[in-house]
Amino acid sequence: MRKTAYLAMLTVCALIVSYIESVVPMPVPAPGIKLGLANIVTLFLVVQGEDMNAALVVFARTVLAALLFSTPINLLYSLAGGLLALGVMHLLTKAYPKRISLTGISVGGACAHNIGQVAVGCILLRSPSLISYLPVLLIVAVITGTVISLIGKWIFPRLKKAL
Amino acid sequence: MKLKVLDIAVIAFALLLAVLIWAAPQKKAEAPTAAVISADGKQQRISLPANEAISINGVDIIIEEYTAFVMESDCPDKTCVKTGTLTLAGQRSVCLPNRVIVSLEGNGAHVTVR
Repeated sequence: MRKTAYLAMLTVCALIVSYIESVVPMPVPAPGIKLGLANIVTLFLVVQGEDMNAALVVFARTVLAALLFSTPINLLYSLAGGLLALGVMHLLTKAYPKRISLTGISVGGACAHNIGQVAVGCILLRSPSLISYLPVLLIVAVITGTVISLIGKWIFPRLKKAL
Repeated sequence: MKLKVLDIAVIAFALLLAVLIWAAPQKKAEAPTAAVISADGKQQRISLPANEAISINGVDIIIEEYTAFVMESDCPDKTCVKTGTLTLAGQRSVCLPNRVIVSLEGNGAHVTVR
């Protein structure tokens, strides 16, 4: 019961930040670029070693976000991005925990998120042409991933204390 | 902010991948000879010059002489509409929600940049 409440709360956190993100436009001319604030919740759970919980929250968040603010087809994009990001962050955290900080994990997750979305796009459109958009997305992911990790470094100790 | 070895490796890998894809051989500016409309992976090719209006999967495409553009789409993001008019071979306008790609292709005849 306690676990349900805990995960529901984190899912709602992720949902609210992704909603705020969808309402406030990013000050960049390219389409599809966002900060990825929802990934903070995934990052929090992954660095705590709660990978199963992270997967549950990613799944619940993407399904709810698609139902509330988006379309079923967008669910495929966000689910692929979210789960691939989770997988990469899990590997980076587990492989050499002493050699990596929150920044590397966060940037890796952000890049994986974009690669997952472009991959789904290529499959759905049955055309590899979207790959040409990946360089922009990867460079943006390095920046947003770093920003997310800085926010994380500030928030995580407080969040742990509150839980 | 202190970066560790793997942080730098991850960032370097991302930037390297970006540069590699970006630097991959690309076609130079070419005069378009055909407009290709792909919906759900099914392609139709229209030789240019042409003047046509095509509606497919909720996307309204206009082909005018040697150019093409998406006039209207029923998707929420309208990225394809914002892309504007395609004038050179290799350019494309993509609607992800409706799974439609409009692109121009050429036959290799280069043109000076307009």
